[in-house]
Amino acid sequence: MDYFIQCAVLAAIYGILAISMDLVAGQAGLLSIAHAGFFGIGAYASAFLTLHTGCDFAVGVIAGACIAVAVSFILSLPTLRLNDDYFVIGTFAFQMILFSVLNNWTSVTRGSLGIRGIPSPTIFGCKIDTSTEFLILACCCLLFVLFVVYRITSSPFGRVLHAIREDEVFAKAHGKNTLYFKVAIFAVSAAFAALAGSLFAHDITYIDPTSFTVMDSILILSMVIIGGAGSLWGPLVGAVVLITLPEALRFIGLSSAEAANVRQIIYGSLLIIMMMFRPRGLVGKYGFNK
Amino acid sequence: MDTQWIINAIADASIYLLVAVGFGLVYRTVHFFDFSFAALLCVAPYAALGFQSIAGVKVVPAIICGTLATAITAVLLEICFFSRLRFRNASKSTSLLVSLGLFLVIRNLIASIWGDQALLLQQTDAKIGYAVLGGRMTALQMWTVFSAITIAAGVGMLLARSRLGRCIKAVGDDCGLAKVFGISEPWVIGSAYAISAISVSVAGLSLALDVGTTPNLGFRPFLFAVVAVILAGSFSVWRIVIASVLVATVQNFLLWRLGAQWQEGGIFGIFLIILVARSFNKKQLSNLKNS
Amino acid sequence: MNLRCEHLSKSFDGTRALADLSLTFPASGIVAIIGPNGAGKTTLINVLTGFLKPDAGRYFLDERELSCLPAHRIAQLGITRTFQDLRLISQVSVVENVLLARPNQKGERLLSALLRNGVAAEENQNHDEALRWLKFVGLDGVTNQLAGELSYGQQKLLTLACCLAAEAKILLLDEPVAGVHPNMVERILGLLRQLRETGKLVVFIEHDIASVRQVADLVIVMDEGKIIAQGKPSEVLERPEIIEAYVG
Repeated sequence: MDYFIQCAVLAAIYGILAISMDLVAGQAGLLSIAHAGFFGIGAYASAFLTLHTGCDFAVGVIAGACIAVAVSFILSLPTLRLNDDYFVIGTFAFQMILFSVLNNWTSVTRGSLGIRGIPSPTIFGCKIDTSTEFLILACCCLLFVLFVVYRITSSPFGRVLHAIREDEVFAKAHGKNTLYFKVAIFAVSAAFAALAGSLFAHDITYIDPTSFTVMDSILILSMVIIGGAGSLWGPLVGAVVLITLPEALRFIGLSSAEAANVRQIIYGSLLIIMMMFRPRGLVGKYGFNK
Repeated sequence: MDTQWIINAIADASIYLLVAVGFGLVYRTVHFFDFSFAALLCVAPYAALGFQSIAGVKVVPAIICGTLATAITAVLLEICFFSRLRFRNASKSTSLLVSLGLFLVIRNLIASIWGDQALLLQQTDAKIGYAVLGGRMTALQMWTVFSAITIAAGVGMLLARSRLGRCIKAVGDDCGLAKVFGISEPWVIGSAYAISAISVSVAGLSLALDVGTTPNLGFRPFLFAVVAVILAGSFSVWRIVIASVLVATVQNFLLWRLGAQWQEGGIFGIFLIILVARSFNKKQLSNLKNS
Repeated sequence: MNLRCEHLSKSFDGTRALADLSLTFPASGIVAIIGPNGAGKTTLINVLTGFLKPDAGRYFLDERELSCLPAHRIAQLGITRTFQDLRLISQVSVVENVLLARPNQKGERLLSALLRNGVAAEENQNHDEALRWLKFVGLDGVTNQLAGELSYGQQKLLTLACCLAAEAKILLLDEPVAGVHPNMVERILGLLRQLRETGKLVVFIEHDIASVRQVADLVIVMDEGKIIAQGKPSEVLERPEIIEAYVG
């Protein structure tokens, strides 16, 4: 039973990640490969604060989100001037820089040794120390994220995001400061990715930089594409599919190294199949056809 | 003065040049960043290993077969995936995402067949190298530098002097108009992919012969080659040579001064600054038509 | 509101699109800009709306210099435009396109989008305004259709509705009647005549001289990045050098 709960927790965490990625890639049409970096910032901030100060889970989340938002401004303000291809490469480069910092800033992150022994989260004095309680926490965070994303995307703000995705020149010609919208949604997306990172750190209780690489950014993007970009539920569906499907590999006798490779082959194949035959994914609205 | 880092930079620059020439030629033709090249880099060494172990061929014929296998793989990827996307007028983002998927599949197929450990194409003694400019350079590194210069010059001449080169430029500038003038788009793009794959496979084989091959062999050289192509700005062989040398020089300087751990972060940090600084000087909104 | 430009120049890879062009537009009325292909007409609109920065020269709205302002800021100041290649959001409905053009929407600020304080009321108001302008241009029967499903002529009307919904005082229209059926041309020209009565300034680029004669109060003739004539249609369009510039 614990195994299924753990799968559900991971699905919720990656669901939050995928929804946050969709804000940028699916709603605003900005293909970013820096998301694992924000995920890592949230994880490390939460882990560091909790271990060194024993603070509440909420404090760790807020600190991680604030750092992620600040870093997102550093990334987005200059790179959003770049056109589509170069923006992707710019985010790629940023992800490599973030990984380099996480891997080499040993005084804070302990480098490749990672941070272990991350304690269970405490919320207003209540310790969350069973898997069921953690699942409830993760689901509450997921519902919160879904609510905020729904508010944003169904508002005039969301309408302008969709216009920017389809034709930024049209949006500018009608008085929309498109840079403000893109920077703002990047910041929100980074904050949610950091929230997912905080949950991840407390769930796995050990983090190291290898969980926050370019490959992980590509995985998150795959979840958005397979589930369907530009919709509220698509990224969540994609996260559930890509987290639970490879779990089936455990039952066919593959070693963990083989399973890791097969998992990546499945991700890559699904990504290709979706983009070739169903660019809007399983339940999405946007097919990256700009 | 320690000049070994300069020698290392020249050797690395030749690898990046080979990959940049290949990647850049395809980008010049089809205008999207094809990430499958990061996996194509290791197809040649693993194909060569396959020919050695299955057919029992020696190293040199295995290398030739590996190069051909890479060219065939690249052309097949173009026929099965990218040409179909172009036919459907798919966006560049779509092609980029498909190429990411192909990179994942190819890289992990290789890993599941051969494993993640480093494999050697041939057993050799430790290489001491020849004295050059106060440092040491191995025969393989010299051969790689020679190959890079030859292939880069060859591709430059191809684009400037041959009919295929003119067709590649025509398709790259305006594919629809090129077809109206009777240029066969599948043949031109397929040829560009084949030539690019040969260039990239030479890089992969050189790396594999030097340090052994792993499924992740191609990732870092590919990323640095992309940096070089973007820094070069346009597909001029001279610009790509200079950009590759710059990238390798900065990388090795950072390695010498700061250590291995900061070379990637340093390169990408400098790259990002240059990319953004250049955007302040860019031509305005090219999607507006002017009368 | 007075729009004027002084000594504007713009070149593209050696080709001079605007050559030291100075021009003062009237405060209201209909102005037609005509000229052969490559005269610099669309470049002028692109510069005046901030989509291109001039190599030299400045332009003003009343006393306020616009030269350093980004395109969205110029639009917010009351200058709106259409494009030669019809820019619309084809995957959303007709009314959503017009709603996008509405200015100063509270709901477009992130915090207001989350808290929704007063956003619903403003949205209803904007919706009513959007429907009003769609009725004005004659698209009230297709408000919920996707913009991409409209005919070309209807899409032209939609771009005009978007400009009007933006509450702009100055409309710069790039070939508003090009490529449409003569009936639709009459309809669009009729709308422009109605706009004259509202005190707006409408500047439109056109190749069809008959349309220009019908509606324009002032004609500006451009060639090779310069103004070669300006005045009433009856004066300008009969000049031999103008006919020569067009016919060659």
